[in-house]
This record gives sequence, C-alpha cells and structure tokens, in this order.
Amino acid sequence: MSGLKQAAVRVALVALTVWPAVHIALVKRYDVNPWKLAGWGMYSAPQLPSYVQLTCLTPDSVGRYELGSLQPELEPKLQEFLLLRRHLGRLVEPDELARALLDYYPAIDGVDVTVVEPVLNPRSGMIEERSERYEYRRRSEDMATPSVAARQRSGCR
Amino acid sequence: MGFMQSAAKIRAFQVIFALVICTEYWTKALARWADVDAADGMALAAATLLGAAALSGRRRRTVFAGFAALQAWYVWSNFPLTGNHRYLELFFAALFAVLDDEKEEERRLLLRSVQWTVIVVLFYSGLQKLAHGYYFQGQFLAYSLWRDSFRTALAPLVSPEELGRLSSYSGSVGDGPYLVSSPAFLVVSNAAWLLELALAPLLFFRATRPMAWIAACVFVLVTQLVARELLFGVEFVAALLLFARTDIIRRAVLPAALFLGLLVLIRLGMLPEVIFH
Repeated sequence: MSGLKQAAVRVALVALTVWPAVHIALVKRYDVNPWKLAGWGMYSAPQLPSYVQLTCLTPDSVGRYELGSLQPELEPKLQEFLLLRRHLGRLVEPDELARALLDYYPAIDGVDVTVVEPVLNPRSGMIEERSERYEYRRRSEDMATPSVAARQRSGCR
Repeated sequence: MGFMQSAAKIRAFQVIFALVICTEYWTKALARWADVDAADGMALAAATLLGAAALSGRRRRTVFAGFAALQAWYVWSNFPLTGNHRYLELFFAALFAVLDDEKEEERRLLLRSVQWTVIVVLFYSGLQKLAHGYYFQGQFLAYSLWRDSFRTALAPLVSPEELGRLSSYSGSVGDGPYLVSSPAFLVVSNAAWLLELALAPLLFFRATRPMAWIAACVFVLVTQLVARELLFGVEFVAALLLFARTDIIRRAVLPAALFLGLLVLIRLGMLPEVIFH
C-alpha cells in the first residue's frame, strides 16, 4: 500500500473523529442543528420550526410598521433564509433577505428582521421563545445596499 | 481472522450497503414520483446501475467510486438538509473506492476503518445526547410522543395521567413541562445515551467486542425501529456485524435484501402503508 494512500485514509479518519467535537461546539455556540452536518446528533434535541417577523423602518412620521404579508417575489428569499437558519443556526444572518426587502421597497430606509425560535428548555422542560433582532439601515451614500456597518444585532435568549 | 473470511465479510457488507443506497433512492423517488425531476431521475438511474454492478462483484472499486460521487452530489445538492446517513455512506463508499480489499494490508485497514467509523458514530450519538441534556428527565422522548411510533413504544412506560398530560401539549411556545416522573421512562431515556457511550469503547477492545456487537445490534435495531429509520438501521446493523469473529454478515445478506425489497413494495403500494425513513 502506498504511503500516500495510507496517510490519506488516516487523515480522513482523524477528521471523522474530531469533527463531531467541533460540531458540538458549533451547536452550543451558534445553535447549529445537532441533527445535521455529520455530527451524529440525530435525536439529541427537538427540532422546532423558527419564523421571522419583518418590520419596515421609514424616514417619515410613520416610523415603523410590521410587514404582515410578504410579496410572492420575496417569499423564496424568506424561505431560503429560514431553511439555512434552521440548520446552520446563527452562522446565517438575514443579510440577503434584508437586501431584497430594501431593494423591493425603495421608500423605506431600514428593515428590522426578528428571528423567532421556539426552544425546549432542557432544565424547565418548557417550550420558550428566543428571538434575535437584526436591524439594517440604508447607507446614505448607497441607499440600495445595507452594509455590515449599518446592521445592528440584538438578542433575547 | 483468515484472509478469505475477512474478504467475504467485506464483500457481504458491500452488497448490503449498495442495496441500502439503491433502496434509499427508489423509496424516496416512489414517495413523490410526480415530482421527480431530471436530476433525481439521473441519480435514481445511476444508483440502480451502480447497485447492479456492485451485485455482479466486478470492478468494485470503480463502482464504489461511483457511489461516492453520487452521495457527494446528493450531499452537495441538498446541503444543509442532508441526513447524516448520507455523509456516512459517502465515507464508506470512498473507503471502498480507495482501498483495495484484494490486498491483505489494505483489506485490514479497510475493515478497521469501517469499524472505527461505527465506533465514532455510536460514541458521538451518545455524547451529543449527553451534551444537550434532553434525556436526563425524559424531555426529548416526552416531546417525541406526538410521533405514533414513539408513542406506541413509550406509552406503556408512563401512567395514563402522565401520558394524558404530555399528549395534551401541541409543541407550542408555553407548552410543558416536558419532564417525566415515571421511573421506567427515565431508565429508557437515560439508557439511550449511556448505552451509546458505553458500547463504543466496548466495541473497541477485543475482550469485550463479542458481547458488545450483539448488544449494539439489539440496541440499534430497537431504537431504529422506534424512530422508523429502517434503512439506516439495516446499514448500521450490517456494519456492526463486521465486528463478529465469524462471517455471520454473509448470512444477513439475503434477509437484508428481502427486507429492503419489502420497503420498496410498501412504497409501490403493494403492501400496507408503513411510515419509514
């Protein structure tokens, strides 16, 4: 057997052995779904569906209003974000969704995306709500594109 | 272990493994036949051809390179939804493609690599349950009672009052507590992660291996039946049979093939509907 082949198999086995430990850390730190990404955490925690609340921020006297229903054109962006968020946790932020909303609604100058995630608290056994709020503002020099600098994140955990 | 015996064990596992992958693609496609697109159709055709080639026993490393490519495509195109068994299949197929089981040294490494993978999966399954803390007071299993298969298996372990309370929750915010007081239920809940953590090292050491692989097979069969993860169950039990000193896995090929055939017949509607994954 060639040394290269043997080394490749051994490296793969080490990666297979170490990765789930990294995965557990990602689950703890970023709420990555323990069921996914080859961490072997199937059936280790309930999977509860998350959703988002969208609020438009306007420069006029209205100030802010909740977006009750989403335009069909924007629905795929929302579903894509929710899917990624449910599996990759807080490694995924709603930048693309916010950008699509700001592009679609030129009259607003910001958008507030609140991700609401029901979780089963293992200590109390109760299903609780956890939310994370992301606020995006248009930059004055580039009204169409939200930037990282213009984004604020706050959480309620 | 003799050369012929270990070679026969690996080939038997490869046959079951190939049949499981084919069955996965077929049962998935049959469940939503009207929605099968061109890519799914190509994958189904590829899995079928590769499965047939694996059964023929010729050019096996090329065949498993094909399976590895197929599973890599699946992982990529479904990421991050991909189930963990697909990653496991990708890894096994890659091992079968890279290592030549006709050569004694590579065959030994191949067998040990598959066995080590099984130990890793079992160990981390237990460690994840321990780390997230949903098994100490039966929280996860209590939450899972909304699923028929969990309910059927676990209902006898709790009092009617407690079952009624847990069943009254709809999984909404404010529901709970999903905490169980029944001792039998708590024993089962904690045995799940304890057994996974304990069986992994017991499979590793030669002295405890004969007892451990039998216990692990029983454990995996029971848990996968409850979870209705039947395809993964067949695959993982077959991998556990590789720990046996004898070539018992060769005698498991026909029952496994028949069982997988039954699953296809269920999806075809020729047998009563049974939910499985």
